[in-house]
Amino acid sequence: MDSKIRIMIVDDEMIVRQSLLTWFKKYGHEVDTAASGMEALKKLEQKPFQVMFVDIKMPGMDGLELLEKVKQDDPDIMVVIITAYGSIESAVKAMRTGASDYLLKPFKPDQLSLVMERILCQQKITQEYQYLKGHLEQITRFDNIIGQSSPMKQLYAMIPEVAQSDASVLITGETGTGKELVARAIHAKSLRAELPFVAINCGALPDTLMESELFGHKKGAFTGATHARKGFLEIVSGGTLFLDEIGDISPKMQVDLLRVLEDKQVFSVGSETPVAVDFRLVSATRHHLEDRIRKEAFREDFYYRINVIKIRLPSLRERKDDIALLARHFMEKYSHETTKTVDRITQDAVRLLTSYDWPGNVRELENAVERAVVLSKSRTLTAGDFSFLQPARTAGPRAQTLKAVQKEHILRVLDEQDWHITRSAEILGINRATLHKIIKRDQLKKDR
Amino acid sequence: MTQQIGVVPVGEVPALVLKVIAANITACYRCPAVVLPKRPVPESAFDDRRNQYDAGIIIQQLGAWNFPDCSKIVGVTSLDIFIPIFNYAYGYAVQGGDLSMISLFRLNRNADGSLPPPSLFYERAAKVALHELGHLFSLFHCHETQCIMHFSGAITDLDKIPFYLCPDCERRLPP
Repeated sequence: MDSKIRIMIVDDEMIVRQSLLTWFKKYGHEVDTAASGMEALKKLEQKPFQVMFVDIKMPGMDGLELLEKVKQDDPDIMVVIITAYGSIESAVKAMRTGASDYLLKPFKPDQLSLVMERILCQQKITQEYQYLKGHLEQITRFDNIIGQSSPMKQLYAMIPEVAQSDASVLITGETGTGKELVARAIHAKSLRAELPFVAINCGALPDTLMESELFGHKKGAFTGATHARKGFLEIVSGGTLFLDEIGDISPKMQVDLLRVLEDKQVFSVGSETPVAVDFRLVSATRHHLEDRIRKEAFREDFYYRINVIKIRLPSLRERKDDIALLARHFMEKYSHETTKTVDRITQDAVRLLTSYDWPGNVRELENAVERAVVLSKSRTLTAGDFSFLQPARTAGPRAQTLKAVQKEHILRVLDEQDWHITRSAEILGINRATLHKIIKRDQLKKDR
Repeated sequence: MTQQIGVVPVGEVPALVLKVIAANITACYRCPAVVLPKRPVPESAFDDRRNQYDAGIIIQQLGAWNFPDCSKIVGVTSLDIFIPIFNYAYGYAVQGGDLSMISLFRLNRNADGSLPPPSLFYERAAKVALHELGHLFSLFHCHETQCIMHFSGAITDLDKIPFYLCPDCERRLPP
């Protein structure tokens, strides 16, 4: 028999459990039994079941209460109510709560057989649905970027168009929004897809090392240069160079890179012979570079060279609709990686995740779900599994004065806009002078 | 003779039907089957609320009797048997066990209430015995309608299935 399913029989009468167990085993199904609703719920926490046969009259939690709880946690489980005390009311209630069928004990063998046939048919439809859902998920995913919110759909539409051109791209967005994923997607969709994608985190490298990494060096160019080494600008030949955190590079490096972009050739450290290079530049930053230009920390000419096409990635706060989808995706990912069966997440947990601010964006959400999966003792992630999220970050009413809330909000907007006064004032709906006054009055200060 | 199958009448059972069952077992499972002496119906098996006999209790009693020369037993009764969750049962066997039970009670009536010819009645008895014995050989219910292991919940279904195993079930039979 090829359609084996996992069945749980819940009945306080041992003889009924035993009879049904014997019966279903004759079909080769995987069968388990529980003598009470509580025992059934405990077993469900340990292992998923596809079908449950549940008696109505049981001491403690009755079958209808169990049905309700089971359906709340997992609407896909099919529950067949069995009872020796049938009434129209209980049958109607059971079916309204989501029971798949209702059988009066004792029943004819072919009645049970028919119910099972219907269930197997429904299972097949469910499997087809899951398959199609998987396809739909592929539609909501774009080269590992996940989301179906409106800003993400705009992004999905933009990436293939951007990929076709060879112009420099600047990706902006808060930390953890997936800037490198977008860069990789642009590369994958471009004509350079078969050639290397080289990613360098400019923020992580000191200037001297950065120079050597990008341009390479000749043997003996500096102390420790025991042999010649090609730089990434040469290695990337024909591919895409991704410079992450480009806002952190020094003015000298900006000049050097600007020259490379204009001349399409590099001089490795200690060499006077130019080497022709061909690459597409994709850069990313979490800073507002315009602000840095004003402070003369970033060169305007370099900025315009790297910013031919600008893509702004939304923060997770701006696409809260995607949080449930992302949480489920990470739950599946880490459940698979840790080989733990964690395949359900309660509505309360989703609500908690949605109300959280996620300053670290998708990366923080991924870490939170990973931690919850690793520490979870059951197959269901509950709000309790995310209790480590700082409550101060979750939205909702708090015992604060209006003034304190106003101060907190202004500070948050300023931080989000990297203290760009004009943009912050626009968002807050006040003029620049007023914002300056508030900053002075409330002694608001930048975090770093 | 560890592979011998014992056919045990429990209460009054026509001798001919027992012989038909034994002959079909030998033909289908290619192992000898013998008709053993009659055993009494255990009184405790009778359920006066249902006016039927509990197949589980009869099987328990079959286990208590000793059949040293047989590896598996098919008990046959003319009484109406039941399994607690079902209204009635044509037969009962524990998957992979040694003991099974079949009832002739409902085999001697057609779906419309008429009497079947004796040959059809014997056929039905043999089919139920072969089916339950299949469970003792660890065979599951089979989707294939042309297989003795296909489940028959009603007499009309029983009349449609053949006397033999489908190739898949045949392969699954222990050597």
